Amino acid sequence: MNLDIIFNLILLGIIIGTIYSLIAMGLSLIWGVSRIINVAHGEFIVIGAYVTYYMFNTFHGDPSLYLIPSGLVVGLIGVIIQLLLYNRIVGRDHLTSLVLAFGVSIVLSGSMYILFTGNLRVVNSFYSEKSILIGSATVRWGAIYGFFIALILILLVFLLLEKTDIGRAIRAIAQDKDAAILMGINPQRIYLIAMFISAFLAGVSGNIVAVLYSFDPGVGESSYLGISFVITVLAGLGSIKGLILAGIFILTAQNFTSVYAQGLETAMGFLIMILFILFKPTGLFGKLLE
Amino acid sequence: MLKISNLQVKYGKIQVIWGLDLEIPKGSVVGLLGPNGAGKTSTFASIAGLVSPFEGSILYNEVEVTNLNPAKRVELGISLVPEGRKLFPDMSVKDNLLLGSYQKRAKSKRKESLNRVLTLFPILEERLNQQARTLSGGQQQMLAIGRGLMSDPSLLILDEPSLGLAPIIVDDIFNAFKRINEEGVTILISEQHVHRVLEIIDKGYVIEQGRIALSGNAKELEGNKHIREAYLGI
Repeated sequence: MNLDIIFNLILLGIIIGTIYSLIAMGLSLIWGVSRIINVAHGEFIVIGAYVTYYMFNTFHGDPSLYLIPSGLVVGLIGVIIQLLLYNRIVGRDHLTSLVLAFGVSIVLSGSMYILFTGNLRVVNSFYSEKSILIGSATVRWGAIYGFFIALILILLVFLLLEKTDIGRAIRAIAQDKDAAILMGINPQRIYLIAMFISAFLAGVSGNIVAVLYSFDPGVGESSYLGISFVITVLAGLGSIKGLILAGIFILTAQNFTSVYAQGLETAMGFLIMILFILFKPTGLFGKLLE
Repeated sequence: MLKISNLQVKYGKIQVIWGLDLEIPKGSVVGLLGPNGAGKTSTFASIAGLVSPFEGSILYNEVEVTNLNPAKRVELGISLVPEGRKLFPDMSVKDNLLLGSYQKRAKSKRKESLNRVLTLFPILEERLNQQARTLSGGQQQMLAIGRGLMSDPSLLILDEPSLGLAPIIVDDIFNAFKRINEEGVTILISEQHVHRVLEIIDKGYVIEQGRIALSGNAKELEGNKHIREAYLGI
């Protein structure tokens, strides 16, 4: 293996890995704040991809125009699901919330098959068709686009969590719900805000993956949920730094796997996760996962 | 300022408070004394709105608050500094303090409150950017009290504030309580160091097995035979 290939694999690992950090961020946020493993997160992403797809096919123009709308539509869906369903099971054990979230996941993907059919969709634009050469690596503009959008959003979420009252309240609920209630924080309100942010991020991620990859209603589960889970565990709950490093690390590891042992990329992700669960269950920087 | 009548609290089927009456005059320091498990923490939790009593009423400034949620009670000026401090360990000292002024009324007075807390406990100013978990026990207690003050309370409830602290630190925080009270804050305090708390309270209630066993001013309690035998070891 020559140095060029190694450079390419690492470069793509950083670019695509950052995008996957964003993809995982919403899952991690809800897990940390509401203690719900929202396995419907993959479907949230795919809904965002469909919003971008249909808006692009209707209005054309640059797919980046549909970034915020995709986030808002999915954010709204997340809020509705929180109010109707997840609010009822917050505070219960993981099994209860998992069963409910699986139900939501199945209903969402089933509805999408009915509404949008199972045909593979692509958003054909400048981003998917044109590439740029970085060193010896050919990188599609979609990846560059996704990388910067992901960086900006991760930074915004970081600032929101660290510097605002709402952000402090979200972290307080994640760390010690009872103490947060003593501060006059209303947990139900925080769960709702956290869900909106999580679903918004999923919708925005959907815009990015629609620009980058083809998709159908099933890819939420097959392509995005599992890896979000792996990245979240590896990062440790409550650490944005961990999310970025974990995303880059997992994607780089998968890139190398694709060269040495093609077909085992997904297995490699889970293998790394299992090793972490065995030897460092709090993840890279996590504090919240006992 | 606070009037509790016939308070009854159950956890599941187990009743822990049996018809408790208690009155706190404005501007006073009132002690709730009694052994572990007597119901002090449950009484405080009822005042702060963390548990709902199944019987009885809590009047705060003549307003019925028995069924208000904790956030509304914080807004009205009730602040509980819980037993065991319950800080946010992975957040900075500053974030912990700012969370104390999360409610609207407190937020508008945030700067003043922060100044007040840092004047009261100057050590916290040096540690503002440290994580709360890195503080010593005494500093953590100061932070918990400071966080409680950040909500600009009229009634500050302190649940076992000296638990596990060195005597010299206990002196410091008891002095702070005096100053807080002089600034016009009414204080309700529970303490196992009974001789300690008798020095600062205007009035004390002794709670045993979920009922008020006796009450009186500090002098009366100090002279009481039961108190001397059971709590002061004299």
